[in-house]
Amino acid sequence: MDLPKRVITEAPNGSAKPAVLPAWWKEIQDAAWIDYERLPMPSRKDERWRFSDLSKVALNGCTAGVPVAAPALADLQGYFSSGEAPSLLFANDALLFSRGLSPEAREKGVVFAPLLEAATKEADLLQSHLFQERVGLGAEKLESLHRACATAGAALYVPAGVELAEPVDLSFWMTEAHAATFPHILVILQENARARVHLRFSSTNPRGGFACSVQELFVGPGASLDLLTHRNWAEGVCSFDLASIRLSRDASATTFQLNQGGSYTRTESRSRLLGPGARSVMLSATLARGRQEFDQRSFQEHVAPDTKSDLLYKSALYDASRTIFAGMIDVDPAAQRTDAYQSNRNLILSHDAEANSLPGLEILANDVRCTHGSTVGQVDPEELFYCLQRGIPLAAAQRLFVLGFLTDVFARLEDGKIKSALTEELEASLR
Amino acid sequence: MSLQICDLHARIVERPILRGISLEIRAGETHAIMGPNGSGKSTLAKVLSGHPDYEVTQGSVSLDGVPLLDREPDERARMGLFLAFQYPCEIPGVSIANFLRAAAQARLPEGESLSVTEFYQKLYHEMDALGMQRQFSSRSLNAGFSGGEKKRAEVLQLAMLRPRYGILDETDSGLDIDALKVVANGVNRLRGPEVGFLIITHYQRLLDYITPDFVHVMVAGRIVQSGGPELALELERRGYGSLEERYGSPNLSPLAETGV
Repeated sequence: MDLPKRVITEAPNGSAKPAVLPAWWKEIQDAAWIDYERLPMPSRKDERWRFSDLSKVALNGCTAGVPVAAPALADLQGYFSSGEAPSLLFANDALLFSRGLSPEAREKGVVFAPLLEAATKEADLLQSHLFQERVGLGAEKLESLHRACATAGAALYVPAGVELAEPVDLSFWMTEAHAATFPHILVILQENARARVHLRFSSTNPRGGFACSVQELFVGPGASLDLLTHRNWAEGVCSFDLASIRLSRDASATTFQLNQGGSYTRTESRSRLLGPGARSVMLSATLARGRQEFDQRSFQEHVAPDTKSDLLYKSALYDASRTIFAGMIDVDPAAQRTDAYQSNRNLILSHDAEANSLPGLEILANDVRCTHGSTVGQVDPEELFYCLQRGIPLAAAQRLFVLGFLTDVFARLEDGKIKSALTEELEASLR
Repeated sequence: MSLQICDLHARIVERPILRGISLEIRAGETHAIMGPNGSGKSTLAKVLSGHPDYEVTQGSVSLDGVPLLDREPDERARMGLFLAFQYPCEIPGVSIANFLRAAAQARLPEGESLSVTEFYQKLYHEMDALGMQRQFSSRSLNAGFSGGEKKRAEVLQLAMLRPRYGILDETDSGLDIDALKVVANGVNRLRGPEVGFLIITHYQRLLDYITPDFVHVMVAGRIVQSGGPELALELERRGYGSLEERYGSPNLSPLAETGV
């Protein structure tokens, strides 16, 4: 593993960054550098890195602030203008395109802005929320690196009782194989607010890059958040996406991720059920191919009574791909009547593929319902024969099974348009 | 034009099941194979369609003159062989329409893609003819279907894929009389001078609705008696007992060697 010291501040535009940061942010950044340098490298001896292929965790000489070349800019312009939702598009951590909220949403006090802008215009809000959460499922060193480097990203704030009608789009791109990106997503929903966020991580170059993003999601009492992440980095990208979601009383959140691409992708997802009646649905569908590795760690943290969490992570593995799922349901002594579910299912399509599944429970309350399950299996030979007998060749039959297996996760989403868009996208990438 | 089976022997693991089956199904003909449980009827269907659990130890099969047994199951299907399964698999998450699109696409020359509009026109036409609700096509294939729905889905696939030779393996099992009629009508619609059918059944009941041209009786892996539709009625009256007594031993088989 190579994560050189201070590589980011030595980047071409490193000197420009501190100038625009408020003092409180700069302090956080400096402290993060110290943490980053102090914290040990991930190690296989650490249970939280069990099964991870650490040889794939590498910065590979990537740096922040790589300029976006003209052809990539044109591609991204095309991608951006095909949408209509309020959105922010970043490439190599530079904000390239933005489309603001509707006047109605702005009048109601909704804020959707790049972090740097929000840090000056909504200083109090940001200062009290930004970098306040720790995901802490193993990648603390990377989380510190993120804090030390992150300037790109967005803040979404929805005031109490406001329902944001349209989803907001956030996309983060890497255009060069030596680019590094540190996106930060901050969502603050006040009491009974409602929002939907569509997040995309993708590349315009087909080779490499390094990404380390963090999501801090604050869901207030009775508020509701739907967050959909579509991750499709280029081959060769090493990426981390560390998400923490805080749920207050009667808050609810559905997070969904569709994972494709990349060389090594680690996701850490922590749901903190802090208020009675809070509810978190955590969904993931992963298509692993080639030599890709998806390393997913989750934590369902039941702190308050009468809370509910429901996790479903499914992966389809082709070729010599690997997946790791390590999930933990943690129930505090006070979290009586917790209802927690955790399910990890893996469909193996090749003898060289490897799925590692480590479901876990730690229950300190006595009146709870917690179940977990994991399966690693191949296509049923009788089902395969059935398809073949209809004249469907092996590869096409496998595509059908993968599609059926993964769209089962999409079926858990409420938005029909999203469901069919995701299905189409998955179909296209399987073709 | 025919599906020609010559002296076919096959086994599963080390146990011989087919002990010399010879049968020719010409285009336009409908043959029925009847026989007691365990006589090898379903094995014949699986061996013809290329199920990997079975090993052919002797004999040959050709479809319109082309040798079949060295082909993969999907190639055999594209050559025009269709098996309606006794126990159709449930495939969760794959709709009937998408499944059939994949099957139709596989039959096109490489590089050509299916016209979705034409596909759906054809699908709805066939569904209408079978008296099926259109929303049935968006349900996951066989997942949670009743026995009758599964068999109807098989007949819909048969109608969509229009094979040269269709094998129906115990299609009547688990069907009530109404479902049986729907399935039989579906098959009868497809009969014609270009298509051959092999109907495998334990009971004569299905043959009341699909009248075969020939009836064969299978016992202990061999065809021991052949005749016209009247043979089915006779078997219904007499049962398989006396035939099993006579031909049940693998060592005695006058007809298998000569090939009926």
